[in-house]
Amino acid sequence: MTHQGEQGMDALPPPAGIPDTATRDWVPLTRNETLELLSVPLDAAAAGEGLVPEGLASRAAAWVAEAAARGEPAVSLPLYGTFVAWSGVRAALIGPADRLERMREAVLEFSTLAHELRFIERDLGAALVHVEADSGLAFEFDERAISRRGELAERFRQAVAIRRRLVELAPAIHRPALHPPTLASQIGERLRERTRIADRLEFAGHQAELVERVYEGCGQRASDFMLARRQTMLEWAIVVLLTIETIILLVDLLTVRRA
Amino acid sequence: MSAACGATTRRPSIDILRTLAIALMVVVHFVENLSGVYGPGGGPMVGVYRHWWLPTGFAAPLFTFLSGVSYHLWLRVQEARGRSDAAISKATIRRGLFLVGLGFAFNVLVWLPEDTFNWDILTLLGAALILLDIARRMPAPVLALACGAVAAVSPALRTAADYASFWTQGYYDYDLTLPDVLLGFLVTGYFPALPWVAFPLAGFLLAPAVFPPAERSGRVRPPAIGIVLVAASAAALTAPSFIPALLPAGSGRWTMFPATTPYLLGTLGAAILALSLLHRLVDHHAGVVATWAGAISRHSLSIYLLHHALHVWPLWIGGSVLHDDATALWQRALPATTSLGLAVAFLVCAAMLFRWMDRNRVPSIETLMRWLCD
Repeated sequence: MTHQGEQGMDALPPPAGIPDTATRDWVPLTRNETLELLSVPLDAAAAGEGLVPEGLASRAAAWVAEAAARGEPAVSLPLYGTFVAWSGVRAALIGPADRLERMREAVLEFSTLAHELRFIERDLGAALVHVEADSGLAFEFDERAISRRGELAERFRQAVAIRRRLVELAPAIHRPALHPPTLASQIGERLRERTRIADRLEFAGHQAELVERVYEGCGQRASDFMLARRQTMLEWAIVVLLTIETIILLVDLLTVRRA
Repeated sequence: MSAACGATTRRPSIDILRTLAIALMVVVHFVENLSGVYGPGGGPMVGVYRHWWLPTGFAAPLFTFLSGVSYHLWLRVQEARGRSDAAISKATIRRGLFLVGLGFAFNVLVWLPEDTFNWDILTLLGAALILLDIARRMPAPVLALACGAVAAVSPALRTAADYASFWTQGYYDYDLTLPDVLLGFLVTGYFPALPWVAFPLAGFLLAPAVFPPAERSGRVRPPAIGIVLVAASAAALTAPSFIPALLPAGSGRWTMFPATTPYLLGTLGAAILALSLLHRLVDHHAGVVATWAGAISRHSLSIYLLHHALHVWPLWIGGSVLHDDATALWQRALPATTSLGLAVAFLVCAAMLFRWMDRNRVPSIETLMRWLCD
């Protein structure tokens, strides 16, 4: 995904080797990210034959693959006389003009999901960096860790936020196949299948569970420790007061005996 | 003394303040014991019978406060080295008992056997060290409560114990009975546990605020506490003139024996302020002063013992030989200026001697304590 474009920018010229009838634009996704989308309508002859010219498909796939290093690995998907190439940062759609809009909607919907999952994976990566160091506090909390309570609470909040995002994402990723299938539903399904997005969601779920479990444990230990500390403080205060009282009694007793 | 804790990571601010306390102590002891003049009222801290220029009453509070600070820093080093809690307790209690034992031996050898239980500063520091082993387990607010309680009950306990009846002509005078000995330890001796333990406890309590660990910054502001305590001392000094009926007699005076509330608050506040200030000034730019102060500070226990032996024993021997009375020369041996000169000469010689001992790894009483206790 790139930050190069904004919605409403002027249309860009098609890449080399792509017919002038093609349109190329930046489509906004979530979080200020965009997808560079190339839509190539097939001419009437090709559309009538239900075939995408091989040269055109390979040029479109190459254009998408150029940017793959910045996004997901490129995926090429020939389907019912259409062709979709997708790499997270760029996507190219080739098909009859009357089908391009539905193809575009399907690709954008999938891109939004993939994009959100990628953000979640990135946040999880950042959270996992701290997990090992913080895991000790999920077992035992001590005086020196008191100053870190705010930091741990913030990490727990982030873990819960990640879980919430995964939970929100799951129904869209595991959506059942439509029957009878449509071109758009098939594109969405095939893209989900080829990018193994459901597996990634599952892995992210496992990672999020680990992070959440560690910080939940930290929260529990911190809470137990603070409660025990308060109780200990009260007990020590009673000990101090009883000691002072004992000293007063002792001095009184010694003074009487001395007299 | 400082060796009670022997912090491994030296802080120039602590070394300089401890050196100052030792210098004050040596000067006061030399001048008072060789040339002091006491009045018939029992040696008031401020009065016409004292040398007005003598800085009495500041060394012991500063020293005992620093012992608490040093103990905290020593504890931090031990914990960082992964030493077990039991091992730390054993070392602390052994050091405390060593100081108590040394204090009694010192009393017998220097002040003669009849003053064995006069409860001097070594026994206080030993007892305080043992108490600090308990205090280190207490939460900070409880420690603060303990300090406050000690300060609050001490005047009442002195009144209950009839403090004045134990003091004759400015000296602690007790009978060798269990009640007198116990009362001396608790309330009526030279340095009784109440209120003097408040100094090491306060030092231990405030050390994390003055020297915060790297991973956290303190919320407590020691200079502010110091200012509040000094202001409270000033208020306590003036309060009896406004509400005399509510306060015990003599509670509004500034005296070291007994350590009254204004004295306790004022000296504690001054010690906190001095440590906070010096920490900011010298701990990051230690110079040659810190090197020499380190030599004196490291051997403060040796200096304490040595300076007494060097100026008190000649008094006893001279008195016995010349006048057939061991105490004949007590406070009459020399003019005050000569005693002052001798004190300064002693300090210079001690600094050179202990620096030489450090360089040549010559063992001292501190080495013996570490060998026995650690």
